[in-house]
Amino acid sequence: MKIKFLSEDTLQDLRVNFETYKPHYYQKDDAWFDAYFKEEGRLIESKIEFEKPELNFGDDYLVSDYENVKAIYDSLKHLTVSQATQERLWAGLAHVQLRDYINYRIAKDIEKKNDKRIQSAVFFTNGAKRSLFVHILARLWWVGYMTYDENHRENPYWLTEFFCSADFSARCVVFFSSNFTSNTAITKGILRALVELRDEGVDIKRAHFVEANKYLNISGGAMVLDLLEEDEVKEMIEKRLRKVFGFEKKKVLN
Amino acid sequence: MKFNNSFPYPVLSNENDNYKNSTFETTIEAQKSFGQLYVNLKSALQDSTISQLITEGKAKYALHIECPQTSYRQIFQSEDPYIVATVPDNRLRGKVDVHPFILANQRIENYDNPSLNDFYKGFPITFEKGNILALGEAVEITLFEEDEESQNLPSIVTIRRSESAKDMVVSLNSPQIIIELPKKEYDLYAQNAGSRLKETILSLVILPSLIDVFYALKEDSADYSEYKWYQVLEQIFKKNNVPFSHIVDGTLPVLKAAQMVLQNPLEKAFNEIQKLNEAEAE
Repeated sequence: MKIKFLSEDTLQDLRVNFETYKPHYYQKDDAWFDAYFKEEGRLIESKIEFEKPELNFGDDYLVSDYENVKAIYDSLKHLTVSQATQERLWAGLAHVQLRDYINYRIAKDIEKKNDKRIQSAVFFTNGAKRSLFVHILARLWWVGYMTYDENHRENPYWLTEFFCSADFSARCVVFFSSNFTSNTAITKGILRALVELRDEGVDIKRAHFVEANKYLNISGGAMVLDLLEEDEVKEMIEKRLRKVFGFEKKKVLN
Repeated sequence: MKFNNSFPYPVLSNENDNYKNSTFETTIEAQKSFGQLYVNLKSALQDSTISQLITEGKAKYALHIECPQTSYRQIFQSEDPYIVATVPDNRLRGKVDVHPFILANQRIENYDNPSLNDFYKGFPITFEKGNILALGEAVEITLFEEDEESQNLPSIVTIRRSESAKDMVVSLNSPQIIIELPKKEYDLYAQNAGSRLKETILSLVILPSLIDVFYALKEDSADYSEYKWYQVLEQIFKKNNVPFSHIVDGTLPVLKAAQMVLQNPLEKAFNEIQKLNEAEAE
């Protein structure tokens, strides 16, 4: 099948009139959504082919987030990055073709009528870049895109697996809101350093991610980090984390 | 992101007085053409010490391109003061930041330069790999959204099933370019056009047809200028900063023009074939 975009009008209607429409989100009112999107001009059929992925709706998000990053990225690997930054595409998938995933992944927020999270999960409400890592579907694709390691033939998702292994929502935002992680050599270098420490028994926490980014921000003020190879970034981050956290000795920090 | 302007070491730049009598001037031009953004850097360096470091391979000219929205971030380097960076435009969206530099390509110890401001005299200076020796003028490029649907070739090409034709025929005397396929081929085309070999099929059918179209234009372009397909093609070339007249006057070979419109059709087709063969091998 083809991906269906929301028309610009529809997107604005849903966003602007969220207060009016929100009961339908709370009630997971498929009949209402189906009728709404049947109206003429609501959806635009794109030229982008897409096989609906088999998403994991398991009880444990720690497991399903990783599985779903793979499922979404595998089925939509052919999106260009400029397509993958379009709100109309992700809002369309969230409302129409993959609505069941939204109901699954933010079930608690829907139950608690957490309007802010419902909106940020289905629309882009956090700025052009940050939204990509907050929107409930876009973030699956983007984490896949940013962590996919094609040089690792047996399991190109090995860094993804590590990334998704804890604290998924927070990691997405903390890690990818940095400008440096736009460079894949830098992203992979940092993740490889963290994986190495994990393999030595360090319990990787948010503080380790924050420190890695902080250190790059400081260093990036004086040098152009993009000149570094993946291995050089890995070494630099590893050295820094060992120094700051005293390695295994003081590994419990927070 | 913006690179800040204060560094813990001297940087040659118009924005500061770290150097006397030396200059680093840059101009950047960007142009979109057939799916690519070309960013051209021209730089002029007046400083013999830094020039010498470049000759020795210890420093390089560099162009840093970043698009925050699409998480694109790349550096292009050269020992040549002219750099042409080519970025597929589907990797970019909206605002693109471009920074020209001269960067240390390796550790440079005991750096000294007779042009340095007196402030730095007598201090040992070491540059690490990635440190900035000279900073040019940053430029921000804004890419405008194009309506992807209307710029697409499919809006002016129709493929039809012909009861009588024995070979593929292209006819130009209508608002659209009509490609007629013999019925058996058409049926196979219709079955497979959306498949994993869709780019390959485009190369088989559309590429030769476009070549035919451009040859027809070379012979007599005035005949066709009223048709919608002619106007859309003219627009496509105009948008991509290539004069359409270059096809008619022969400056642009028709084979090349057809490949430009389809944006690397061979590469796309062979990638599909490669993928399919790999999938079968597994």
